[in-house]
Amino acid sequence: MGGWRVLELSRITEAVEELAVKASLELPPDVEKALAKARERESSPRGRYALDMILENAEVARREGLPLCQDTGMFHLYVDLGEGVALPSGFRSAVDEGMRRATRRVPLRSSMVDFPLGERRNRGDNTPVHVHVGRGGPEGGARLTLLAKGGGSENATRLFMLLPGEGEGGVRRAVLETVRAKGAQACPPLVVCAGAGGDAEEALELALRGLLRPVGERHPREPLARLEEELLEEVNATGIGAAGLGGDTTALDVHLEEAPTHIACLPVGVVLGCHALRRSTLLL
Amino acid sequence: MIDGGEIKVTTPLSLEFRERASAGDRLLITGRLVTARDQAHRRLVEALEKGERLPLELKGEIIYYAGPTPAPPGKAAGSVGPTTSSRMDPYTPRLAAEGIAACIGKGPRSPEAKRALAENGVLYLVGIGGAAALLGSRVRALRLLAYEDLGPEAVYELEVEDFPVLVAYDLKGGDVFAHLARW
Repeated sequence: MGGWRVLELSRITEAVEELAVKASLELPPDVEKALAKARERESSPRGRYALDMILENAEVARREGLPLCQDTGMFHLYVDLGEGVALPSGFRSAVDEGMRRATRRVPLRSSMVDFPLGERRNRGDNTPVHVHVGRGGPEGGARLTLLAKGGGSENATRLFMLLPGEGEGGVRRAVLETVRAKGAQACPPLVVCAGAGGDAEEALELALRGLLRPVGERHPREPLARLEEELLEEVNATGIGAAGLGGDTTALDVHLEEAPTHIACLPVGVVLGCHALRRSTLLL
Repeated sequence: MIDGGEIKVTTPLSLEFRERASAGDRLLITGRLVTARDQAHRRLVEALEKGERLPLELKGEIIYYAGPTPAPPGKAAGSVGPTTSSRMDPYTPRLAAEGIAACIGKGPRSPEAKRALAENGVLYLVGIGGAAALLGSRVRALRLLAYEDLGPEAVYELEVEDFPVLVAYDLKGGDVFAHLARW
Protein backbone atom coordinates (compact mmCIF):
# COMPACT_ATOMS: atom_id res chain seq x y z
CA MET A 1 0.00 0.00 0.00
CA GLY A 2 2.86 2.41 -0.74
CA GLY A 3 2.62 5.59 -2.81
CA TRP A 4 0.50 7.75 -0.50
CA ARG A 5 1.07 11.43 -0.94
CA VAL A 6 0.98 13.49 2.23
CA LEU A 7 0.23 17.18 1.64
CA GLU A 8 2.97 19.53 2.81
CA LEU A 9 2.23 21.80 5.78
CA SER A 10 3.90 24.85 4.22
CA ARG A 11 1.90 24.46 0.99
CA ILE A 12 -1.31 24.27 2.99
CA THR A 13 -0.50 27.49 4.85
CA GLU A 14 0.37 29.28 1.60
CA ALA A 15 -2.77 28.00 -0.10
CA VAL A 16 -5.07 29.17 2.69
CA GLU A 17 -3.42 32.59 2.72
CA GLU A 18 -3.87 32.97 -1.05
CA LEU A 19 -7.46 31.73 -0.96
CA ALA A 20 -8.42 34.06 1.90
CA VAL A 21 -6.90 37.10 0.19
CA LYS A 22 -8.55 36.32 -3.15
CA ALA A 23 -11.95 35.48 -1.66
CA SER A 24 -11.97 38.69 0.39
CA LEU A 25 -11.12 41.01 -2.51
CA GLU A 26 -12.67 39.46 -5.61
CA LEU A 27 -16.28 38.53 -6.20
CA PRO A 28 -16.45 35.15 -8.01
CA PRO A 29 -17.28 35.66 -11.74
CA ASP A 30 -20.52 33.63 -11.54
CA VAL A 31 -21.81 35.87 -8.73
CA GLU A 32 -20.81 39.13 -10.42
CA LYS A 33 -22.39 38.01 -13.69
CA ALA A 34 -25.64 37.09 -11.93
CA LEU A 35 -25.70 40.49 -10.18
CA ALA A 36 -25.16 42.32 -13.48
CA LYS A 37 -27.96 40.31 -15.11
CA ALA A 38 -30.26 41.09 -12.19
CA ARG A 39 -29.45 44.81 -12.53
CA GLU A 40 -30.52 44.75 -16.20
CA ARG A 41 -33.84 43.15 -15.34
CA GLU A 42 -34.60 45.11 -12.16
CA SER A 43 -37.70 47.28 -12.46
CA SER A 44 -37.56 49.01 -9.06
CA PRO A 45 -35.54 52.26 -8.86
CA ARG A 46 -34.49 51.46 -5.28
CA GLY A 47 -33.51 47.97 -6.31
CA ARG A 48 -31.41 49.43 -9.12
CA TYR A 49 -29.79 51.89 -6.68
CA ALA A 50 -28.76 48.97 -4.44
CA LEU A 51 -27.55 46.76 -7.32
CA ASP A 52 -25.57 49.61 -8.88
CA MET A 53 -23.82 50.18 -5.60
CA ILE A 54 -23.12 46.47 -5.11
CA LEU A 55 -21.60 46.21 -8.61
CA GLU A 56 -19.54 49.37 -8.14
CA ASN A 57 -18.37 47.99 -4.80
CA ALA A 58 -16.95 44.91 -6.51
CA GLU A 59 -14.94 47.17 -8.84
CA VAL A 60 -13.64 49.35 -6.01
CA ALA A 61 -12.65 46.29 -3.95
CA ARG A 62 -10.68 44.79 -6.84
CA ARG A 63 -9.06 48.07 -7.85
CA GLU A 64 -8.20 49.38 -4.38
CA GLY A 65 -7.41 46.06 -2.71
CA LEU A 66 -10.12 46.66 -0.10
CA PRO A 67 -12.23 43.81 1.31
CA LEU A 68 -15.62 43.48 -0.42
CA CYS A 69 -17.30 43.72 2.97
CA GLN A 70 -16.09 45.04 6.32
CA ASP A 71 -17.47 41.83 7.76
CA THR A 72 -14.72 39.71 6.31
CA GLY A 73 -16.51 36.71 7.72
CA MET A 74 -16.10 33.42 9.49
CA PHE A 75 -13.99 31.17 7.33
CA HIS A 76 -14.73 27.63 6.20
CA LEU A 77 -12.17 25.48 4.39
CA TYR A 78 -13.47 22.58 2.32
CA VAL A 79 -10.81 19.97 1.59
CA ASP A 80 -11.79 17.38 -1.00
CA LEU A 81 -9.10 14.72 -1.01
CA GLY A 82 -8.38 12.61 -4.07
CA GLU A 83 -7.42 8.93 -4.05
CA GLY A 84 -4.04 8.23 -2.48
CA VAL A 85 -3.76 11.56 -0.61
CA ALA A 86 -3.55 12.12 3.13
CA LEU A 87 -3.41 15.12 5.44
CA PRO A 88 -0.30 15.67 7.56
CA SER A 89 -0.40 15.90 11.33
CA GLY A 90 -0.57 19.57 12.29
CA PHE A 91 -2.94 20.23 9.39
CA ARG A 92 -5.35 22.45 11.33
CA SER A 93 -2.55 24.61 12.74
CA ALA A 94 -1.18 25.09 9.23
CA VAL A 95 -4.62 26.21 8.04
CA ASP A 96 -4.97 28.70 10.90
CA GLU A 97 -1.49 30.05 10.20
CA GLY A 98 -2.55 30.81 6.61
CA MET A 99 -5.59 32.65 7.97
CA ARG A 100 -3.40 34.69 10.34
CA ARG A 101 -1.15 35.72 7.45
CA ALA A 102 -4.10 36.76 5.26
CA THR A 103 -5.60 38.77 8.13
CA ARG A 104 -2.37 40.76 8.48
CA ARG A 105 -1.77 41.07 4.74
CA VAL A 106 -5.05 42.51 3.39
CA PRO A 107 -5.68 43.50 6.27
CA LEU A 108 -8.94 41.76 7.20
CA ARG A 109 -11.10 42.70 10.16
CA SER A 110 -10.76 40.26 12.97
CA SER A 111 -14.30 39.14 13.62
CA MET A 112 -13.82 36.14 15.89
CA VAL A 113 -14.23 36.47 19.66
CA ASP A 114 -13.53 34.16 22.60
CA PHE A 115 -15.90 33.66 25.53
CA PRO A 116 -19.09 34.20 23.49
CA LEU A 117 -21.35 34.29 26.55
CA GLY A 118 -19.55 37.04 28.38
CA GLU A 119 -16.40 38.93 27.64
CA ARG A 120 -16.46 38.32 23.86
CA ARG A 121 -12.75 39.07 23.61
CA ASN A 122 -11.54 39.51 20.05
CA ARG A 123 -9.05 36.81 19.06
CA GLY A 124 -7.33 39.16 16.63
CA ASP A 125 -6.57 36.71 13.82
CA ASN A 126 -9.85 35.26 12.44
CA THR A 127 -9.00 31.77 13.67
CA PRO A 128 -10.14 29.08 13.97
CA VAL A 129 -11.02 28.25 10.39
CA HIS A 130 -13.84 25.67 10.25
CA VAL A 131 -12.44 22.69 8.38
CA HIS A 132 -14.63 20.27 6.41
CA VAL A 133 -12.73 17.26 5.04
CA GLY A 134 -14.28 15.06 2.40
CA ARG A 135 -13.54 12.97 -0.67
CA GLY A 136 -13.92 13.60 -4.39
CA GLY A 137 -10.79 15.62 -5.13
CA PRO A 138 -8.51 14.97 -8.12
CA GLU A 139 -6.54 11.71 -7.99
CA GLY A 140 -3.24 12.21 -6.19
CA GLY A 141 -4.21 15.75 -5.11
CA ALA A 142 -6.73 17.82 -3.21
CA ARG A 143 -9.20 20.57 -4.00
CA LEU A 144 -9.25 23.38 -1.43
CA THR A 145 -12.16 25.82 -1.33
CA LEU A 146 -12.36 28.66 1.14
CA LEU A 147 -15.73 30.23 1.98
CA ALA A 148 -16.13 33.46 3.96
CA LYS A 149 -19.51 33.76 5.67
CA GLY A 150 -20.62 37.06 7.19
CA GLY A 151 -22.31 37.28 10.59
CA GLY A 152 -25.40 39.08 9.33
CA SER A 153 -26.37 36.27 7.00
CA GLU A 154 -25.21 33.65 9.51
CA ASN A 155 -27.81 34.97 11.97
CA ALA A 156 -30.48 34.11 9.40
CA THR A 157 -29.71 30.37 9.45
CA ARG A 158 -32.56 28.07 10.48
CA LEU A 159 -33.07 24.39 11.20
CA PHE A 160 -36.44 22.69 10.74
CA MET A 161 -37.04 19.17 12.03
CA LEU A 162 -39.95 18.33 9.72
CA LEU A 163 -42.21 15.28 9.68
CA PRO A 164 -41.19 12.82 6.94
CA GLY A 165 -44.59 13.23 5.26
CA GLU A 166 -44.15 16.98 4.85
CA GLY A 167 -41.81 16.34 1.93
CA GLU A 168 -41.40 18.93 -0.79
CA GLY A 169 -44.11 21.20 0.63
CA GLY A 170 -42.29 21.27 3.96
CA VAL A 171 -39.03 22.28 2.32
CA ARG A 172 -40.86 25.00 0.42
CA ARG A 173 -42.38 26.39 3.65
CA ALA A 174 -39.02 26.21 5.47
CA VAL A 175 -37.27 28.17 2.73
CA LEU A 176 -39.96 30.84 2.39
CA GLU A 177 -40.38 31.24 6.16
CA THR A 178 -36.63 31.81 6.57
CA VAL A 179 -36.46 34.27 3.69
CA ARG A 180 -39.48 36.24 4.95
CA ALA A 181 -38.27 36.34 8.54
CA LYS A 182 -34.61 37.12 7.94
CA GLY A 183 -33.99 37.77 4.25
CA ALA A 184 -33.99 41.58 4.44
CA GLN A 185 -31.22 41.52 7.06
CA ALA A 186 -29.02 38.98 5.33
CA CYS A 187 -27.90 41.36 2.55
CA PRO A 188 -30.02 40.34 -0.44
CA PRO A 189 -29.77 39.46 -3.31
CA LEU A 190 -29.25 36.14 -1.58
CA VAL A 191 -28.15 32.69 -2.60
CA VAL A 192 -30.69 30.61 -0.70
CA CYS A 193 -29.52 27.11 0.20
CA ALA A 194 -31.43 24.27 1.82
CA GLY A 195 -30.12 20.87 2.87
CA ALA A 196 -32.67 18.10 3.29
CA GLY A 197 -31.89 14.80 5.01
CA GLY A 198 -29.06 13.45 7.13
CA ASP A 199 -29.34 14.49 10.77
CA ALA A 200 -29.66 18.01 12.14
CA GLU A 201 -25.95 18.67 11.77
CA GLU A 202 -25.74 17.26 8.25
CA ALA A 203 -28.80 19.18 7.05
CA LEU A 204 -27.09 22.46 7.99
CA GLU A 205 -23.76 21.27 6.62
CA LEU A 206 -25.41 20.42 3.28
CA ALA A 207 -27.10 23.80 3.16
CA LEU A 208 -23.86 25.66 3.77
CA ARG A 209 -22.14 23.58 1.13
CA GLY A 210 -24.82 24.71 -1.30
CA LEU A 211 -23.01 28.07 -1.38
CA LEU A 212 -20.08 26.38 -3.15
CA ARG A 213 -22.17 25.44 -6.19
CA PRO A 214 -21.89 28.05 -8.98
CA VAL A 215 -24.84 30.43 -9.23
CA GLY A 216 -27.08 29.32 -12.10
CA GLU A 217 -26.16 25.63 -11.89
CA ARG A 218 -29.06 23.27 -11.23
CA HIS A 219 -29.12 20.15 -9.05
CA PRO A 220 -28.44 17.05 -11.17
CA ARG A 221 -31.62 15.30 -9.97
CA GLU A 222 -34.68 16.56 -11.85
CA PRO A 223 -37.20 16.87 -8.99
CA LEU A 224 -34.75 19.02 -7.04
CA ALA A 225 -33.76 21.06 -10.09
CA ARG A 226 -37.43 21.84 -10.73
CA LEU A 227 -38.03 22.71 -7.06
CA GLU A 228 -35.02 25.05 -7.14
CA GLU A 229 -36.48 26.94 -10.09
CA GLU A 230 -39.93 27.17 -8.52
CA LEU A 231 -38.51 28.35 -5.20
CA LEU A 232 -36.36 30.97 -6.92
CA GLU A 233 -39.52 32.43 -8.44
CA GLU A 234 -41.35 32.34 -5.12
CA VAL A 235 -38.48 33.93 -3.22
CA ASN A 236 -38.27 36.73 -5.78
CA ALA A 237 -42.05 37.15 -5.63
CA THR A 238 -41.71 38.20 -1.96
CA GLY A 239 -40.57 41.59 -3.27
CA ILE A 240 -38.00 41.99 -0.46
CA GLY A 241 -35.54 43.13 -3.10
CA ALA A 242 -31.85 44.04 -3.13
CA ALA A 243 -30.76 45.39 0.28
CA GLY A 244 -34.37 44.82 1.39
CA LEU A 245 -35.40 47.99 -0.43
CA GLY A 246 -38.01 46.29 -2.61
CA GLY A 247 -37.84 45.02 -6.16
CA ASP A 248 -37.57 41.94 -8.34
CA THR A 249 -34.24 40.62 -7.06
CA THR A 250 -34.39 38.98 -3.64
CA ALA A 251 -32.29 35.97 -4.62
CA LEU A 252 -29.78 35.19 -7.35
CA ASP A 253 -30.39 31.48 -6.99
CA VAL A 254 -31.76 28.67 -4.83
CA HIS A 255 -29.62 25.57 -4.25
CA LEU A 256 -31.01 22.38 -2.71
CA GLU A 257 -28.88 19.49 -1.48
CA GLU A 258 -29.96 16.10 -0.13
CA ALA A 259 -28.58 13.16 1.84
CA PRO A 260 -29.91 9.84 3.20
CA THR A 261 -31.85 10.24 6.43
CA HIS A 262 -33.55 8.18 9.16
CA ILE A 263 -37.02 6.68 8.54
CA ALA A 264 -38.46 8.93 11.28
CA CYS A 265 -36.77 12.16 10.15
CA LEU A 266 -36.76 14.99 7.67
CA PRO A 267 -34.28 17.61 8.88
CA VAL A 268 -34.06 20.72 6.69
CA GLY A 269 -31.33 23.31 7.19
CA VAL A 270 -31.70 26.70 5.51
CA VAL A 271 -28.70 28.96 4.96
CA LEU A 272 -28.84 32.40 3.35
CA GLY A 273 -25.72 33.56 1.53
CA CYS A 274 -25.35 37.34 1.15
CA HIS A 275 -24.65 38.97 -2.23
CA ALA A 276 -20.96 39.19 -1.32
CA LEU A 277 -20.68 35.43 -1.76
CA ARG A 278 -16.99 35.01 -1.18
CA ARG A 279 -15.36 31.74 -2.16
CA SER A 280 -12.17 30.74 -3.87
CA THR A 281 -10.74 27.38 -4.98
CA LEU A 282 -7.36 25.90 -5.86
CA LEU A 283 -5.85 22.48 -6.44
CA LEU A 284 -2.91 21.10 -4.48
CA MET B 1 -36.96 61.46 -5.06
CA ILE B 2 -35.02 58.32 -5.85
CA ASP B 3 -34.78 59.14 -9.55
CA GLY B 4 -34.37 62.81 -8.83
CA GLY B 5 -30.71 62.45 -7.98
CA GLU B 6 -28.78 62.84 -4.78
CA ILE B 7 -29.08 65.48 -2.09
CA LYS B 8 -25.73 66.72 -0.82
CA VAL B 9 -25.74 67.40 2.89
CA THR B 10 -23.15 68.46 5.44
CA THR B 11 -23.05 67.47 9.11
CA PRO B 12 -24.39 68.27 11.63
CA LEU B 13 -27.85 67.45 10.26
CA SER B 14 -30.12 70.25 11.42
CA LEU B 15 -33.57 69.51 12.83
CA GLU B 16 -34.99 71.51 9.93
CA PHE B 17 -33.26 69.23 7.42
CA ARG B 18 -34.36 66.12 9.31
CA GLU B 19 -37.98 67.26 9.33
CA ARG B 20 -37.88 67.89 5.59
CA ALA B 21 -36.22 64.61 4.58
CA SER B 22 -38.43 61.89 3.08
CA ALA B 23 -38.07 58.12 3.10
CA GLY B 24 -36.35 57.14 -0.13
CA ASP B 25 -34.28 60.34 -0.43
CA ARG B 26 -30.73 59.58 -1.53
CA LEU B 27 -28.20 61.54 0.49
CA LEU B 28 -24.49 62.17 0.01
CA ILE B 29 -23.15 63.06 3.45
CA THR B 30 -20.01 65.09 3.96
CA GLY B 31 -18.73 65.55 7.49
CA ARG B 32 -18.51 63.47 10.62
CA LEU B 33 -19.91 60.04 11.54
CA VAL B 34 -19.28 58.15 14.77
CA THR B 35 -19.19 54.33 14.68
CA ALA B 36 -20.77 52.20 17.40
CA ARG B 37 -21.97 48.62 17.11
CA ASP B 38 -23.06 45.87 19.51
CA GLN B 39 -20.52 46.14 22.32
CA ALA B 40 -20.08 49.92 22.18
CA HIS B 41 -23.87 50.29 22.44
CA ARG B 42 -23.90 48.01 25.45
CA ARG B 43 -21.20 50.06 27.17
CA LEU B 44 -22.72 53.44 26.31
CA VAL B 45 -26.13 52.46 27.64
CA GLU B 46 -24.64 50.86 30.77
CA ALA B 47 -22.72 54.06 31.45
CA LEU B 48 -25.85 56.19 30.94
CA GLU B 49 -27.83 54.01 33.31
CA LYS B 50 -25.16 54.29 35.99
CA GLY B 51 -25.07 58.04 35.48
CA GLU B 52 -21.42 57.91 34.37
CA ARG B 53 -19.80 60.42 32.06
CA LEU B 54 -19.63 59.17 28.45
CA PRO B 55 -16.32 59.12 26.58
CA LEU B 56 -17.97 61.17 23.80
CA GLU B 57 -20.77 63.69 23.34
CA LEU B 58 -23.73 62.02 21.59
CA LYS B 59 -25.90 65.06 20.96
CA GLY B 60 -26.22 65.90 17.28
CA GLU B 61 -24.02 63.01 16.13
CA ILE B 62 -24.71 60.52 13.35
CA ILE B 63 -24.16 57.07 14.81
CA TYR B 64 -22.93 54.58 12.22
CA TYR B 65 -23.48 50.90 13.02
CA ALA B 66 -20.19 49.64 11.63
CA GLY B 67 -16.91 48.00 12.47
CA PRO B 68 -14.23 48.86 9.89
CA THR B 69 -11.45 46.66 8.56
CA PRO B 70 -8.00 48.09 9.43
CA ALA B 71 -6.70 50.66 6.93
CA PRO B 72 -4.20 49.27 4.43
CA PRO B 73 -0.91 51.23 4.22
CA GLY B 74 -1.40 54.59 2.51
CA LYS B 75 -5.21 54.64 2.88
CA ALA B 76 -7.35 56.64 5.30
CA ALA B 77 -9.57 53.67 6.07
CA GLY B 78 -10.34 50.10 5.15
CA SER B 79 -13.78 48.81 4.21
CA VAL B 80 -16.64 50.07 6.33
CA GLY B 81 -20.22 49.17 5.45
CA PRO B 82 -23.25 49.11 7.73
CA THR B 83 -24.09 46.17 9.98
CA THR B 84 -27.61 44.89 10.80
CA SER B 85 -29.43 47.63 12.70
CA SER B 86 -31.96 45.45 14.51
CA ARG B 87 -29.24 44.18 16.86
CA MET B 88 -28.97 47.74 18.17
CA ASP B 89 -32.76 48.06 18.68
CA PRO B 90 -32.74 47.34 22.45
CA TYR B 91 -30.31 50.24 22.99
CA THR B 92 -31.81 52.66 20.48
CA PRO B 93 -34.48 54.36 22.64
CA ARG B 94 -31.80 55.33 25.19
CA LEU B 95 -29.42 56.78 22.57
CA ALA B 96 -32.28 58.52 20.75
CA ALA B 97 -33.21 60.23 24.02
CA GLU B 98 -29.62 61.54 24.24
CA GLY B 99 -30.28 63.62 21.15
CA ILE B 100 -28.43 61.87 18.34
CA ALA B 101 -29.39 63.32 14.95
CA ALA B 102 -29.40 60.14 12.89
CA CYS B 103 -28.20 56.59 12.77
CA ILE B 104 -26.96 54.60 9.79
CA GLY B 105 -27.32 50.84 9.48
CA LYS B 106 -29.03 48.28 7.31
CA GLY B 107 -32.42 46.58 7.39
CA PRO B 108 -35.70 47.19 9.21
CA ARG B 109 -36.04 48.03 12.94
CA SER B 110 -38.32 46.88 15.75
CA PRO B 111 -41.53 48.89 16.26
CA GLU B 112 -40.15 50.17 19.61
CA ALA B 113 -36.92 51.41 18.06
CA LYS B 114 -38.78 52.96 15.15
CA ARG B 115 -41.11 54.84 17.48
CA ALA B 116 -38.25 56.07 19.67
CA LEU B 117 -36.39 57.37 16.62
CA ALA B 118 -39.39 59.31 15.32
CA GLU B 119 -40.32 60.72 18.75
CA ASN B 120 -36.81 62.06 19.26
CA GLY B 121 -36.38 63.54 15.79
CA VAL B 122 -33.78 60.96 14.76
CA LEU B 123 -33.53 60.01 11.07
CA TYR B 124 -32.87 56.37 10.26
CA LEU B 125 -30.56 56.10 7.27
CA VAL B 126 -29.39 52.96 5.49
CA GLY B 127 -26.24 52.25 3.59
CA ILE B 128 -26.13 49.34 1.18
CA GLY B 129 -24.96 46.36 3.23
CA GLY B 130 -21.88 44.80 1.70
CA ALA B 131 -20.91 47.89 -0.30
CA ALA B 132 -18.12 48.34 2.21
CA ALA B 133 -15.16 48.96 -0.09
CA LEU B 134 -17.12 51.69 -1.90
CA LEU B 135 -18.21 53.27 1.40
CA GLY B 136 -14.70 52.94 2.85
CA SER B 137 -13.29 54.75 -0.19
CA ARG B 138 -15.41 57.79 0.81
CA VAL B 139 -13.71 58.05 4.23
CA ARG B 140 -11.09 60.82 4.34
CA ALA B 141 -9.91 60.33 7.95
CA LEU B 142 -10.50 57.90 10.78
CA ARG B 143 -9.68 58.46 14.45
CA LEU B 144 -10.23 56.32 17.55
CA LEU B 145 -12.62 57.99 20.01
CA ALA B 146 -13.29 55.39 22.72
CA TYR B 147 -13.17 51.75 23.84
CA GLU B 148 -9.92 50.87 22.08
CA ASP B 149 -9.94 47.39 23.67
CA LEU B 150 -12.95 46.48 21.50
CA GLY B 151 -10.80 46.50 18.36
CA PRO B 152 -13.11 46.68 15.33
CA GLU B 153 -16.03 47.32 17.70
CA ALA B 154 -14.41 50.43 19.21
CA VAL B 155 -15.89 53.89 18.65
CA TYR B 156 -14.25 55.67 15.71
CA GLU B 157 -14.80 59.11 14.28
CA LEU B 158 -15.00 59.07 10.48
CA GLU B 159 -14.58 62.10 8.30
CA VAL B 160 -16.50 61.28 5.13
CA GLU B 161 -17.06 62.90 1.76
CA ASP B 162 -20.12 62.18 -0.40
CA PHE B 163 -21.01 59.15 1.70
CA PRO B 164 -24.07 57.57 0.01
CA VAL B 165 -27.08 56.63 2.18
CA LEU B 166 -30.83 56.40 1.76
CA VAL B 167 -33.41 57.83 4.18
CA ALA B 168 -35.13 54.68 5.51
CA TYR B 169 -37.46 56.15 8.18
CA ASP B 170 -38.33 59.82 7.99
CA LEU B 171 -39.96 61.83 10.78
CA LYS B 172 -43.35 61.80 9.04
CA GLY B 173 -43.89 58.04 9.19
CA GLY B 174 -42.35 57.25 5.79
CA ASP B 175 -40.66 53.84 5.67
CA VAL B 176 -38.73 52.28 2.79
CA PHE B 177 -39.26 48.85 4.38
CA ALA B 178 -43.05 49.15 4.48
CA HIS B 179 -43.31 46.40 1.85
CA LEU B 180 -41.79 43.91 4.32
CA ALA B 181 -44.72 44.24 6.74
CA ARG B 182 -47.11 42.37 4.46
CA TRP B 183 -46.59 39.06 6.17
